[in-house]
Amino acid sequence: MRKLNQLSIFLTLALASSLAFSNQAPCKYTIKKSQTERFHGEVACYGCKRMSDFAMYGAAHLVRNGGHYKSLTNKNGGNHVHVKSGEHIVSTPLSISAGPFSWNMEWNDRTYQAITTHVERGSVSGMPWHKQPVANSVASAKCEAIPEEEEEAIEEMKKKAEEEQSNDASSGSGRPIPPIDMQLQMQAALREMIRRGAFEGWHYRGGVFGPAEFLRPCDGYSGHSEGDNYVSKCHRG
Amino acid sequence: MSKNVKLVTLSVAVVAGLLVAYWGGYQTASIAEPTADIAQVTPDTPVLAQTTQPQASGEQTAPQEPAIDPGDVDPASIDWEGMQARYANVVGNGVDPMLMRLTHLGGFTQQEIAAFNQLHVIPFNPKVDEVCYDHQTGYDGVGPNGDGFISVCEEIKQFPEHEYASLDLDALLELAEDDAAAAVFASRQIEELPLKIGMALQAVALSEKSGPLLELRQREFGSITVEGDQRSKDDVINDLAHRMVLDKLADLLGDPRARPDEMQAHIKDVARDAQEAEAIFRGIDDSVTNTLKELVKIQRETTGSTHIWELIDA
Repeated sequence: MRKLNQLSIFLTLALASSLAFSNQAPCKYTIKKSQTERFHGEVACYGCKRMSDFAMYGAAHLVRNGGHYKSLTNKNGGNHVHVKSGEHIVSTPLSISAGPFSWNMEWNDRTYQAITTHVERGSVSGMPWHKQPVANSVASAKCEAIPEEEEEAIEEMKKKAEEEQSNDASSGSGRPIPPIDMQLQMQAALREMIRRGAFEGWHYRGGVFGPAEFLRPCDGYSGHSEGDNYVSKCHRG
Repeated sequence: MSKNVKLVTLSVAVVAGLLVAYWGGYQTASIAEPTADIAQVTPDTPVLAQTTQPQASGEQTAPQEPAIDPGDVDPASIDWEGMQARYANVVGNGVDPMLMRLTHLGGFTQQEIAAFNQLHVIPFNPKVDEVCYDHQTGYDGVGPNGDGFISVCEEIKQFPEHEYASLDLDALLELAEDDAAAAVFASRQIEELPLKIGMALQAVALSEKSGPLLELRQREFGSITVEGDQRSKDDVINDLAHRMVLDKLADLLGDPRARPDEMQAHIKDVARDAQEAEAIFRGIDDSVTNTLKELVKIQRETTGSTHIWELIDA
């Protein structure tokens, strides 16, 4: 009996923690809760470029997450898009009449969420969405696809950064050190990626993230795997 | 540019005043946001240009109103919370659609716009019409027919875009010496928080309007994320304190939309204990006092006005 109690406590805790985890990180990446606004959070999206990307990324995080979040600020660098999920109200041709009054019948289609977006900051291609219906099944599929899509986007960013650095390094006396502001932006983006765990399990050597070192371009890169981790090294002269 | 240096000093003083009283060596510097914060939307190429008929996209449609004299509208007579609540189920709680200039939502009343313009340097530019077209999102299961097509609308505003909207930062900073509108645009474009605050204060000093403070509050500190996930308690308190200073300043300048005590509970929540919270509140009050003194000085030097001095003296 005692063992049964222990088992039920363990199962309850396991279920509670997995539920808590799924609400905070339904599509792998953690939503940062707002201190000041109820049901609002922030999440980074490195693959988001157009308004549709931001909207769908938000819809994926908000589907069946209404108890915890109803709106999100999706951030990709300096572009921030506010995504709000609401009920998808469908009107029907049916109406109820009582004397001079009549009411059109509407119902909340729970298989959809209505997505509204606006740009909070930056410049995003595409017009704001206004209560656009998104099927829950589509949002859930998007949620499942997000980890892979984000990894690709991060990989692309990393390649671009490396290419830029090696281009600058190989350009000789022309422009050996990239503009500091660009470097700082990149540094901020990389730090943000580390913050949200995108590089979890990765080790960086060669002082790539050291402020002073970062401003110096790498002469070359090398990398190898150590178990589950990928070790990247920046070589400088 | 010497004025800019002064403004940076002032805004740094705001930040420092906030923190020195309590943290001592607390680091206020944070990684600057990498891009400007002017919200701009550029349209995608319409996939299927279908309609050009106006389509209401806002929650509310402005009722037919009799013409008003904008100068007669008292900003305090407007139900600002009610206005915000009208849009809450579209844009979410805590988002002031006017401060965010979400003109595409439509439905703002003449009184609201007139009152807003009394409080702000850059007038509200309402939507008068819109052009709607079908847009392919690339996602099946999206849109009313589930085929990926949604209807999006491009707004047509009452006035052309402000001439300063296309100026670069250097030009804006130059003009901001004695032009409040340029200071507002500079504050929006600048990435570094101290200078951003400095430019908003410059706009306030030059215009005697509190709007730039609340616009900054909404854009920069509209939603503050909790501690954890690499975000320290100091970061959170720093943001909460900034927001409270901006609200307190706007309140002292007579802005009916200011909510000077709104962040108190959150600060108490985050602070270790009551003593720590008190120290933060003292830092905030000192910062407000010092900022007002500096605003008085800037105003006297640039416009010769003593309006802000009269306000705080009263």
